[in-house]
Amino acid sequence: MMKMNKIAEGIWEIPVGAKEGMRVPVRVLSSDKLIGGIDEGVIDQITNVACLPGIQRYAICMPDAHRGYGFPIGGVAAFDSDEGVISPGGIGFDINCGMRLIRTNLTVDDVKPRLDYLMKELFKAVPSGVGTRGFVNLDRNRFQKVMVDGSQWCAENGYASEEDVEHTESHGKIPGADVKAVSERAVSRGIDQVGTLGSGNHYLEIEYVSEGRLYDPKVAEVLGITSVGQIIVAVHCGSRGFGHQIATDYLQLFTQNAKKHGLRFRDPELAAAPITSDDGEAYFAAMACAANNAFANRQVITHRVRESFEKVFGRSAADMGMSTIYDVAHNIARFENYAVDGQTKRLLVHRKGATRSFGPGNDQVPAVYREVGQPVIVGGSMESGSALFVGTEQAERDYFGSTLHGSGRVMSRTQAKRQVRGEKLQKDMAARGIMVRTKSMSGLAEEAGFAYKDIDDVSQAVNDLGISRLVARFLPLANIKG
Amino acid sequence: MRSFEISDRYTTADIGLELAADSLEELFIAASEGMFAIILGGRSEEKSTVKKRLEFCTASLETLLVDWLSELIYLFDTEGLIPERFHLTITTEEERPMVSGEVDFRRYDRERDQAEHEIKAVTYYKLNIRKDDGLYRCHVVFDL
Repeated sequence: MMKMNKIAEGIWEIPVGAKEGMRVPVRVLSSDKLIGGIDEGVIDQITNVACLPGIQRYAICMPDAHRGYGFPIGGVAAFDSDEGVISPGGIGFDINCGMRLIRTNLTVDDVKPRLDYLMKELFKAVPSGVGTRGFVNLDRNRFQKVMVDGSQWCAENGYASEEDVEHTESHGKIPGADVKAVSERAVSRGIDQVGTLGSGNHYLEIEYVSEGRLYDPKVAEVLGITSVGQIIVAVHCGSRGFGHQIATDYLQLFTQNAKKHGLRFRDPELAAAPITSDDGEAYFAAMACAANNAFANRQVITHRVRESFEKVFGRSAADMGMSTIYDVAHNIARFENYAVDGQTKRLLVHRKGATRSFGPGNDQVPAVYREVGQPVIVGGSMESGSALFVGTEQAERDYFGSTLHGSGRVMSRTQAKRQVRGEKLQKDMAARGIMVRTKSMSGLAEEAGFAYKDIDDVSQAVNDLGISRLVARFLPLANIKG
Repeated sequence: MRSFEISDRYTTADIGLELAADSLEELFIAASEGMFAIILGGRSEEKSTVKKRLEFCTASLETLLVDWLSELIYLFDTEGLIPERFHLTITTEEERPMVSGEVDFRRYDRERDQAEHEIKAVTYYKLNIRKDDGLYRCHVVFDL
């Protein structure tokens, strides 16, 4: 393993020169407890990232990092918008995979007696697993509007409230989306998947505010979390086959055109193009289409969740206080301004398995949250629930406004299946008061809690580093596993 | 001769295949069969109902394999097609290797097939097709 120097509490550095071609150092953000578990593959990948043209300050690894393709998952890098590159491997195949939290005014006691009925309805309303189709009927023209307008299309078509849109990163619409940059293949993969969860580690979860885990009640209140036992709904999914195809298309194009752009890559998955080239601009435009599609996907799922709650509890969603706390991307590239060497620069920040973490006062944060900072939603395993943070000025100043995204996997799927069978896990979780529904028992075993880092360890690490501030922890009551 | 083994040797979050075959054609078939074993959790011989002619030409054998498998994912995702039988030819004499041939497919049946994994994409992660002791070998990793 390459040598890492601890330069401050929670921060390790790999200097320029540790690998030939590094243009900037690497910063690994972690804790004394977690640092020993870091995978050698992660270090190899993040030092490759540090070699890319136009990279600024340092390549960053979050405490939940694990091996990915090109960038590690939990990798952040910012590139000069004139001299830098854009790389599909810095965003991921699931463009705008992200998290949404929906608050309610219901309590565990309100929900438990009807939980089984609620889960049956949600399981029907939100298709999950392989090869599922969404309920939104889109022709090509309407799908193109989804690509350009994202959540705002949902508002125009009765699937979103104004508040939903306001409480979504960039109002659920990344500027610069251009449907001409999207292949026919991507359209045919995505056109009937709006409103579906997908599979793997994607989920829809009923959670509650955990006793003794309301860490900052004042900030929590601003975010609409007022009491222990309050029911919250968490949604984790992305742009489905549409985004996967766009990533595949442009990875192929960037590989073919590497010579034309005068670029060589240490890893084929790090294929990139200059941001200002036709190829780079086209990929950004297509990526924005996929990101907007993902915002719309989580919004349509929110609509279906509201309908299911209305059916089960016989009350309107408004009466149950069902509003979006926030929706945030964790696989994306965004143009943002940061001070580098005393100069404000426009950078393209790649966050792959990392979340934007803007602090109090930032005008990108919804007005009602601006005094406390942007909500940051961190998903754990299906046994551990989620964590809610707010962003900080320190994250903006030191780490391009970024923080972690999840727990991070530590055990392979095969190992997890060797340790537990899906049926047994489902029974054990039920005994602990967590109901799980899934289409695949073997897929369930692969997502067992022990396959992930402890969410409390990674949460503590970023809280101590000051790159996001822990507000509350939610525990799972019921989970639909994709 | 061809074989595949499902493996997690190279990745924490995803799944790959260790492949061996006595010809490039057999290697591509083993990769296709292995990929659908990951998606469906096993293989079942069913009657084919759809025949398609596929042809790809790329800069390297590795790119050819990624493009080939990506096409099969695309056909599964958009048309629910599962490949059953392959009649392939791979040529490497020219500067750009080429795969061409016919594939017999059957249709995915949600009730019967009980798919286990959705493959987002085929990756180039440490992908290197080589010939050892008369056998073509490689591993290929899928992003799940």
